[in-house]
Amino acid sequence: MDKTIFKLIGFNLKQLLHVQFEGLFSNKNNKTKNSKKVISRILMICLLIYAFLVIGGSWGVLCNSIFKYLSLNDKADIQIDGQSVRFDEYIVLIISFFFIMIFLISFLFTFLSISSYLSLSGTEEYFLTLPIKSTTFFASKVIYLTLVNTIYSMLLSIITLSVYGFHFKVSFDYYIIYLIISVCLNLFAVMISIPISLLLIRLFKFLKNKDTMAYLSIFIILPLVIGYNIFQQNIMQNISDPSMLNNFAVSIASITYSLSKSILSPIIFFIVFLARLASGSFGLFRYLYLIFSILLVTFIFYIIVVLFSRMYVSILTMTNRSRKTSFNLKRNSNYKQKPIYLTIFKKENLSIFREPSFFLNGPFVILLLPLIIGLSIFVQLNTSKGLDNVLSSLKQMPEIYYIYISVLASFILSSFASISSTSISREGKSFSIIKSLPIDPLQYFKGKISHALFFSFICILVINIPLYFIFPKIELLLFSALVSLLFSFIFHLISISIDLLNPKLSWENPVQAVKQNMNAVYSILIGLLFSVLFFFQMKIFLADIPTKIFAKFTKMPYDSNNIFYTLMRRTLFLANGTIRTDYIFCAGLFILLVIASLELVVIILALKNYFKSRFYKIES
Amino acid sequence: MIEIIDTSKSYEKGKKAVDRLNLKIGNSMIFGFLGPNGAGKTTTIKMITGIISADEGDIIVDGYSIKKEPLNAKMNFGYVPDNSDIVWRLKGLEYLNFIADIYRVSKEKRKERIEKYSELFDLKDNLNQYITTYSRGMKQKLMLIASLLNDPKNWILDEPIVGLDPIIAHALKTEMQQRAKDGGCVFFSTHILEIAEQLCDKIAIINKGCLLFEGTIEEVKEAKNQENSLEQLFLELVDG
Ligand SMILES: Nc1ncnc2c1ncn2[C@@H]1O[C@H](COP(=O)(O)OP(=O)(O)OP(=O)(O)O)[C@@H](O)[C@H]1O
Ligand SMILES: [Mg+2]
Repeated sequence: MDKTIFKLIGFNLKQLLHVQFEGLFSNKNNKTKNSKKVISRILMICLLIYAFLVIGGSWGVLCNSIFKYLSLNDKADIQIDGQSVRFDEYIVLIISFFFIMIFLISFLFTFLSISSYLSLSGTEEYFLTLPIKSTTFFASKVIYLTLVNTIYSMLLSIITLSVYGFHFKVSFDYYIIYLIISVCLNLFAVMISIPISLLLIRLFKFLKNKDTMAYLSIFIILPLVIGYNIFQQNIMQNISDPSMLNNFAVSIASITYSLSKSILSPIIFFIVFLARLASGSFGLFRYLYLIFSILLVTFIFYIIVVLFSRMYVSILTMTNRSRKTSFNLKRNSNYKQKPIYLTIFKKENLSIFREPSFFLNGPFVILLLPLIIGLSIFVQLNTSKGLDNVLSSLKQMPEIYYIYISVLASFILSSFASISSTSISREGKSFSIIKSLPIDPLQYFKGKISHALFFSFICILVINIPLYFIFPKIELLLFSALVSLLFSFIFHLISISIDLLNPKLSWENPVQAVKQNMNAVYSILIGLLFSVLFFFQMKIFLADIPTKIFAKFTKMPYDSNNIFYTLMRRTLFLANGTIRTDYIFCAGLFILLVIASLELVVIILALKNYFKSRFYKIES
Repeated sequence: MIEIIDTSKSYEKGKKAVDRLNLKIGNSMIFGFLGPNGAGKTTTIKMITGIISADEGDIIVDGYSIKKEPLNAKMNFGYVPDNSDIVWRLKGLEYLNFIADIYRVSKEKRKERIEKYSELFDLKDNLNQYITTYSRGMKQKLMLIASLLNDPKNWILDEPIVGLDPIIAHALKTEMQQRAKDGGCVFFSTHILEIAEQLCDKIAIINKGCLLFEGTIEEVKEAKNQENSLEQLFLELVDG
């Protein structure tokens, strides 16, 4: 192995960082470019830190409660599966359990991402033609895969061990050992994952297909995420109950115990070995064992590179055969004339459903997000048997909240699905084709927006149907659907304008257009801002203004601190049908609808010229 | 009929990709646009088609300015780009239908034209396939068919022959000649001087964005009066 390895890794990483940070703005103007670059980097880093905090935080709380409980325990022997286990062995089993989970995460990430490194991009095809040894080529890929896929699991293992070290008061040098153990554990997971993945892909050629893998990954990761969510909520609820914690600790130790006796024992054996090293059981010999585990992992790395590099290159050059479908060009049904905006709508729809990265980051979110939130709320309430209580108190909720929830949820879903905020960016290099065609920009945006609205409509259905079971009032449903649709329309207009200002057109991989696009982030922020604005707007138009009108008519001097007016505003805004007559309520909703439509018209008029002129200015 | 009037474009400050270009491409002719790599041919064609806007000057297609009346101007030409970057996940026929919808080609007309040109350019067996799986030449053939769907008076092609096999190249040349004979205007860029000599009624040579020569093939032959006269002229103008 030679220096080429590091050059290849460096090349891959540079490409990754480049698409993450550099390509965010295609603005030619250098002055604005720098400040924008700084802002976008800061935003990106904030997002990363946020993700780390969310993932690391919940894991940390989990570890903390278990290790804290165990450190306060009287260190007696424990019965596991009918066997008596010494307390320090028991701790090893519990650390091993966390290690197994971390191992699994690294293993899965590697498995799921490997196929995307197996389809060649232009530059990689070129690398294959260079006189680079296949072992060098493969080794660089393995190291790169490790670096990219183990970021989160490295974090989790460091958190686990630090929390353990904190509660069991280990000496300082252990924290350095923990760092090395984390690296060994994750590297080991990748080393086990790579040969298994390669063999599987070799056997089942369809796995080489990136699309198949994208869908497969969702169906593997989703149940895991939901499962972990439920698991964690269970723990959190019982965190203060020592007997529950004890049961939990014993049960995870017993899982590890039985796993170590199963067919997986060689893998588990090494994991348990690392856990034992971390737990401090080896005393002064720890450095010896640490060096041993480093050597072992390096050895496995070497063996795998030597044994599998041939297979890797042969998989790289393997192609899938697709089935040929019969097709008759002469059939009349192949030809239909459609209006321009509809043909754009259709093109958008086809490409969003056919491109897995578009689908999974777009329409799929609309179904996924409510499902995860709904399910975790359900589980949480169900276990504490509060579901009925909550449902009945929800039914007491002011009706205005129904509309608010509906609009809010459709904003959030629409912005997270980033259908409108990436709609220009998704055109990529083909935008130049659009520009050479006689398309009226307004028709073009009509197509784009009707496409985004189509998905908003689905959002609204997804939200309002469950809400309908809480408030079975059809007129409320219709009103809220209509208001949500109108406000979504405004939201999409704004979010398309943002994308239009700085579309990301120069991408090679479609994921870049949706995932690594700052416009999607801006649009999420705007969605949040919108929901706050919407709340105040409802308050102003449904409560404040009517109260002022009332004051004018009755000639009672208006004072916002006046207790009568305060009450009146609150009544108007919050009271449900029992206090306020349906008549007033419907009038209020009608006003809301009129206001929404007026706002829409104003925004359309304001943006019309911008859409037109900006469309012609974009040069990729 | 395409008129390029005093048109300039620069991508970076101080470096003009196209510099005050004046050209008039009349009807009933094939007009060859020649120049070395980086001369500004693609830039000029992109300005004609409205993909990029000219910094100065104007371009008129059949009486419509691409700046002031882009829709009318675009209705009157068909365009074949030099590299066909279609990233949309569409099948060949879906793409053609999309283009036909935009040119508002009726159902009967588009059926007739798609059948005719996919037969001519030998792509009819691949129209049910995703464009992303097409070879370079197949993509180019698809773009050729798409550019002819509205039966344009003006046909603008950026290096159309590169990447086509001899049979298709022949079919393309015949189609170009046929269109010019029927009163159309065919404007194409190329590096291959033999093709320019064989096909063109008129040629223009540019280098570094500036027009070096414009004239008929007869004028070239008279001026040099020897074999390979176009090659001689080209080398003299660009190298010397
Ligand atoms: N997007 C761009 N950004 C910056 N400079 C560009 C861009 N596109 C072209 N140029 C520059 O403009 C000049 C003309 O390029 P153009 O593509 O028009 O040449 P061409 O005559 O088509 O060349 P070829 O025969 O190689 O196709 C070149 O100097 C090129 O570097
Ligand atoms: Mg060119």
